[in-house]
Amino acid sequence: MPALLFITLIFGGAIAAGLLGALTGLGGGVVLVPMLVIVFKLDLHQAMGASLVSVIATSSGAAVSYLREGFSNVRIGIFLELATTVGALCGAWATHLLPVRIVAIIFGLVLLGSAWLSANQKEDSPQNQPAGLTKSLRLFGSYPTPKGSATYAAIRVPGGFSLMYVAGVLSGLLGIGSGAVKVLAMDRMMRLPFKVSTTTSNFMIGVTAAASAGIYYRHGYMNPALDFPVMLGVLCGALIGARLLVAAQIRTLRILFTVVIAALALEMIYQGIRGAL
Amino acid sequence: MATRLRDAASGHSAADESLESALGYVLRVGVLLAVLVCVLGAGLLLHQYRGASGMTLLADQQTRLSPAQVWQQARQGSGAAIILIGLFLLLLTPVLRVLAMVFAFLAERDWLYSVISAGVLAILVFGILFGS
Repeated sequence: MPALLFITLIFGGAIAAGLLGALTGLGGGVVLVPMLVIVFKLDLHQAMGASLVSVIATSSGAAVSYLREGFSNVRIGIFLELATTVGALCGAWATHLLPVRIVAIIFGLVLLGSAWLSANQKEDSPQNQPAGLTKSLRLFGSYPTPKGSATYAAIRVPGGFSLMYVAGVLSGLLGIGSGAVKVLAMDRMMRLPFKVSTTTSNFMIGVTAAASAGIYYRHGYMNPALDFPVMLGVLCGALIGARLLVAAQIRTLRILFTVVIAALALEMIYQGIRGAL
Repeated sequence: MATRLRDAASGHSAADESLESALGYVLRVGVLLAVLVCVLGAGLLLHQYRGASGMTLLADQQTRLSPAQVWQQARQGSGAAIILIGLFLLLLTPVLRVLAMVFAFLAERDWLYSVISAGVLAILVFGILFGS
C-alpha cells in the first residue's frame, strides 16, 4: 500500500477512534490501540506509544473548555496526580518486562471493564461537609448547576488516592488515559459530583501520560510516522465528538458503541491468548 | 474578610479562576504549536517517502534518537525529526502547566499545594529525563 494512502487510512481510523472515545467517555486511546493492532496489524508497543501521544494532545486540547466552565477542581486534580504520575512510571517500566501477549490480554480486560463502567454511570448529587483529611487538604469546592452553585467535598481520600495509583499504573502499562478508572476513583470512591469527576479526570490524563512518555520514547515505542496521523486524527475526532455530545441525543448510539468496544476487547484477549500479536 | 471566608469554604476563589484561565491558555498555545510543527514535519516526511510503501515508511523510522541527533536531523530537513520536535513540544505542555501551577500556588501563598504541585513536577521531570 502506498505511504500516503496508508497514512490517510490510519488518520481516518484515528478520527473514528477519537469520536468513539469522546462519545462513550472512554477516551480515544483505549479504542485506538485495538484498532491499530487488529485492523492494521501494527506492533502493539508502537500502537501504545502513538496512543499515549494522542492522550496528551486530547487532554490538553479538551481541558481548555472544561476549565472555562468551572467544573474541574485544580486542587483535587494536582493532589491525585501525585498518585497517578508515580503509578504511570511504574506501569511504563513494567510494560517493557511483560510479554506482549500478556499486555494484550490485560488491555482487553481493562477495555471491557472500562466499557462496563461507562455504560453504568449514574449521576448523583453528593453534599458533604469537609472533615479530616479532606479539610486539611482542601479537597472540596463548588460547581455550577441549573439550580445555582452547589458545594461538594471528597470522602474516602486514601481509597481514592490508591485507586488513582492503579489508574496511573494502567495508563503507563497500556499507553491509555485510563479515564474510566480515574472517574471511578473520584465519582464512586471519593463521592465527587459526576461532572466534576469527569472534567477533573480529563485534565489529569495529560499529566499522567506525560510521566510515562519519556520512558516509552527510550523503549523505542514512539514512531514519528505513526504518531502524527494518530495524534492529529484522535484530536480531530475528539473535538468533533465534544460538539456532537452537546448537540445530539446519543443514548441509543452509546449502547451500540459500547457493543463495538466490547467486541474489540474480546478480540484483543483472544489474540493475546493465541499469541498472535 | 467575609468574602474570604466564603471562598475558603467553597474552595474556589477569584484567584483560582484566573489561575484556571491562565492554565487553559498555556495548554491551548502548546497544543496548537505542537500540531503546527507536526503538520510541517508530516508534509516533509510524506514528500520524502513518496512512492514508498506504507510499511516501509513505518519500518524505516529510527526510534530512540538522542535529542542532539533529532535536532541535527531536523536541521537537515528530516520530516520525521521535525515531527519528533512537535511531539516534544506536546509533551512539554502538561509539564509547563504543572510548572505554572507551582508558581500560581506560590503567589497565592498556598504552601501545601506549592509543595504538592512541585512534587508532581519533580516526578514528571524524573520520568522524562531518567525513568527507564
